Amino acid sequence: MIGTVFDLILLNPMVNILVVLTTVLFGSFGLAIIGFTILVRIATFPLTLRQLNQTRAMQQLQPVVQELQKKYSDPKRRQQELMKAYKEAGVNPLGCIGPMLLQFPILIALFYAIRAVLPQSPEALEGLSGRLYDIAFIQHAVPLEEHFLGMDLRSPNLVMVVLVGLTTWAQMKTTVMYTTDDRMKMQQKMMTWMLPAMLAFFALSFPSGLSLYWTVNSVVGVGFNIVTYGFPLLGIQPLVALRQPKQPPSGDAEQPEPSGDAEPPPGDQKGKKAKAGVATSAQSDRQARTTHGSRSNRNKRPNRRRRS
Amino acid sequence: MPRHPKKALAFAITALAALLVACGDIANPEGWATPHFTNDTLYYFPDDDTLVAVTFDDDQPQTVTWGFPDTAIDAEANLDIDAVYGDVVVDDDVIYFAGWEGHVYAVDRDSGRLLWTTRDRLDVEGSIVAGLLHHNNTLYFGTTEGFFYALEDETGAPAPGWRADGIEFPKGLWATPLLLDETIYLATMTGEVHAISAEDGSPVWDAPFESGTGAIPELSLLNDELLFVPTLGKTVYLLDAATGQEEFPSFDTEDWVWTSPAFDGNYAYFGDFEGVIHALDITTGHDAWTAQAEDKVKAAPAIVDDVVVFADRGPVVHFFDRETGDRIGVPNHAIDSGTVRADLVARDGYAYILTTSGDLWRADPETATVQPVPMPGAAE
Repeated sequence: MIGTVFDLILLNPMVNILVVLTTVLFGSFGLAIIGFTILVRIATFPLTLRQLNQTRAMQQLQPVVQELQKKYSDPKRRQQELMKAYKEAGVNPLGCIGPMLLQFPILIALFYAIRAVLPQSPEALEGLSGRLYDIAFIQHAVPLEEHFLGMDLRSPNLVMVVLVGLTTWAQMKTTVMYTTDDRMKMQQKMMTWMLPAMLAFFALSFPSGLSLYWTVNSVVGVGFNIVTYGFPLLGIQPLVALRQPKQPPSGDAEQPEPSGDAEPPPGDQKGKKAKAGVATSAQSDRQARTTHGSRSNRNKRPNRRRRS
Repeated sequence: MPRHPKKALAFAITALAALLVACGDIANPEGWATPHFTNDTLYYFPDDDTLVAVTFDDDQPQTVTWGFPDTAIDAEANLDIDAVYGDVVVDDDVIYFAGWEGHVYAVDRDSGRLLWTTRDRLDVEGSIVAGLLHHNNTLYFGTTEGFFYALEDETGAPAPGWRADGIEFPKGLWATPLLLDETIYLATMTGEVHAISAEDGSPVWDAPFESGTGAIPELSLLNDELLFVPTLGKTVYLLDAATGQEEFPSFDTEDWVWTSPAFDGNYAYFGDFEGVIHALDITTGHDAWTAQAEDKVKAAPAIVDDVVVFADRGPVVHFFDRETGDRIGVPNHAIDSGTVRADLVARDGYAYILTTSGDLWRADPETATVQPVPMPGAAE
């Protein structure tokens, strides 16, 4: 039942879109994957923008969250207060994982779509007949050319493995990380390396067509991050302003200090200090090497004072 | 809660990878080579990588005389046959076949031992789906990358006068090459039919036939004049073999046609992937009758006396009067394992059906029944 629904609403449409794109894009399935990736990113751009806003808002609430966590020892009450704070700030704590979760059904479907459209065996080509829509333009297009830039898109490719790792790392590096928590910073720093390594490892056994999708997706993600947050290491300023969250309800909560030399995003009238901990992961790394420890201590002091 | 969004991301990616890897093997080649009967022996593939010879007496299998390859023999231990799709060629003393992995094998017919293989000698471009054409001491075959090769049957070396690295055609030679009057016919998955000289590969027609309706996975000769050209674009063409021109306007089907027909001199019987069974009258280019199977039809039917026997992918076996199309009995669901992709074979009043599970079944048109053929164990 789940398989049938998955086929009908996700896999089969994807198979047909890929066939159409291949035909339109000069018979190149590689170009079709690139085109498909861009279409997906465009279609999910509102979600991506929402994610960026929510992530930022969530992180700007971190001082409040930390205060509430220290203030309430009862987990139930703490959770209630946290949710109340989120609600008052207009933040949906789940809002920033939507696009991330959306990637997984797309990835799974694309994995199967590539295997269906570029069959590894005659039996697989036979199975494709049941997935194609009854449109002559589509029916006449199969089987598709499986090679792109010298790669067999059905099989793993070492170049793509490297590109998956590099582009994922680049996306992680350009992803904004707002946190005042040392432990989380360490985790994030570790994930900046772990995630690309893990994905590259998986790419060793995935069709290179899927790796191509992930690579292009990451490159586009890097572009979004740079457009949204800039990239101070290269002197690139943000090109768009994100929506500002509502003022956190606990006005007495102290904002964490800015993390290093991050430029305040345009439109933020509170200036640099209000950009609590806003930094790309690259900046965070630098902070970790320079002022990270002392800044963390400073961030903790007010809380300790309040608790005492 | 996205308190640790990257942890959640890592977990999700791990789960995704586990799921994909677990579900990864969905397209392993299995093969669909047709069983081959001689007077007293059946040669067939009970699984994707082993050819066996079974003696037959009074329609009953007697002994498995040999299996190939035999992993206990050094020369055959590492052959790694993936799957075999094309029919075996049975010569007086030798059996030839080609594997999906791109190698051609010559096996002694009596002993079942390897005579030669192209493995380690000829690195063909692509895989081999098509069967071999054996003519004039030469083996011809095409590959999925569109390369056409000719080998000496004695040694497996490139045939004199032919390029060792193959002649390149538009991509995808999936159909077994055909021969008629020193002309070889080739079909491509780009929808073309080529006629070339068996001597040197030079073109025979003024121009190749172009279907314009998609890939041509099979090619058959109906008599000494007509080529049966099915496509994945739901169209069948009947071509004049001499000129490559359409003998009749193209014939539309409900779905892909990926099969050879059974031909009785007047009608070409075949099924499509919508399960529609056709009896195509080659004198008019139209259906004499049609019927409906329960699943897609990949295997070519078998004509046994006045009955044409189909097995669909269900697998369900269907019996029809070949003149009228009247169904004989009811659709038979006796086959309880695998599915049917290999062509059916008519022999001594029965139609033999090989399933993808490697089981052999025998359909009796007189009673519209289907019985398993119990295979003996290997000879000591």
